Amino acid sequence: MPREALSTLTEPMYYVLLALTRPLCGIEIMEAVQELSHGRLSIGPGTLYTMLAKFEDNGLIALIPTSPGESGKRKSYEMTEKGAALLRQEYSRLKRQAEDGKAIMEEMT
Amino acid sequence: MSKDKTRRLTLFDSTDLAAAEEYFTRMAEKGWLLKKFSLFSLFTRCEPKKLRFSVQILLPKRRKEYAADVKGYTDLCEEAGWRYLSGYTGMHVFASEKEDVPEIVTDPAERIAAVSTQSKTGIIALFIASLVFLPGVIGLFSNLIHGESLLSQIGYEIPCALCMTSVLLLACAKTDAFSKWRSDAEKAAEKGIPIRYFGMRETRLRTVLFFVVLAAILIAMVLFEIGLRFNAA
Repeated sequence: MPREALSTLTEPMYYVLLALTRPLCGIEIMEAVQELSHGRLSIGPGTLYTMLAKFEDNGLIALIPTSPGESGKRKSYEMTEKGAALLRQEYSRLKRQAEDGKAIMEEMT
Repeated sequence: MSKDKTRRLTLFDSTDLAAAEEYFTRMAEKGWLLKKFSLFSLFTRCEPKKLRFSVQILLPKRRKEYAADVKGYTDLCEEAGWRYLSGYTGMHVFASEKEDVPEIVTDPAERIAAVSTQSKTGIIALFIASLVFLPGVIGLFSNLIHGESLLSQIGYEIPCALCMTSVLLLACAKTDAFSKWRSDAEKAAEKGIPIRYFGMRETRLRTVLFFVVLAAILIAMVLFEIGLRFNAA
């Protein structure tokens, strides 16, 4: 199956990548997303699995290898350089959008 | 089979996930926990308890790696408080004793895509399967044109016609249910409200309707045969 290249991020994707600026396992990512979004967003484990698989396929995150003695340990992920670049690009895009709308929104209020 | 195990017919469509969850919940309340999900699912005796069930569709993205995909998916769900029970034809059943476990799938687009793929595959497979009975149906009409009665064709042509009608009816019922579900699901996703699957009541109603239409076709055939005999007399 051809890879689905990611050029922009959806809101949940953005928060998952934000969470993965430090190595985390699945349940920690879910908790971090809730915390970072101040409880506004919650991601189910099924949705998170699909998203992590997509990120991994696109080289945005990588699975942290475990030593043979840690086979039962939860899988943890960390963001790659490519992932960090996409996150920075998305942050700039969102910032520009907010700045572009700022003057008009202030006039409206 | 011992009294600690029982098998039940569990025929659920991808649009009927609520019905499946409702059914497994009722069984657990009666003291039967799902052990193996299949067409005739296996249940084992347990303490009657209130469990929360979640049935999810996980489609193979990379067919060769499907087992690893299921393992990764279920591991993550177990981390979040769900217990994986069993899976069958892309549908996977989870249970939890906790009420506050998170929803497994929170992305409406993902739900719609999974149900759409699963439903379309099932519908296409049914339409193709119905073609197996086509020679018998052609034979039936050909014989009727040549003045043979329906009764003389009860050995091959009539069963073929009934089977083809049943399979096509099932495919039409599935198509109708899927179209309705998809339209409702897209509206719900737009409004940001939870997507609803068909429950036990709706699936039972659909089954009853299926048998009513099939019975009507049988009655029509009998009336046709009577008409033929009356004309011949």
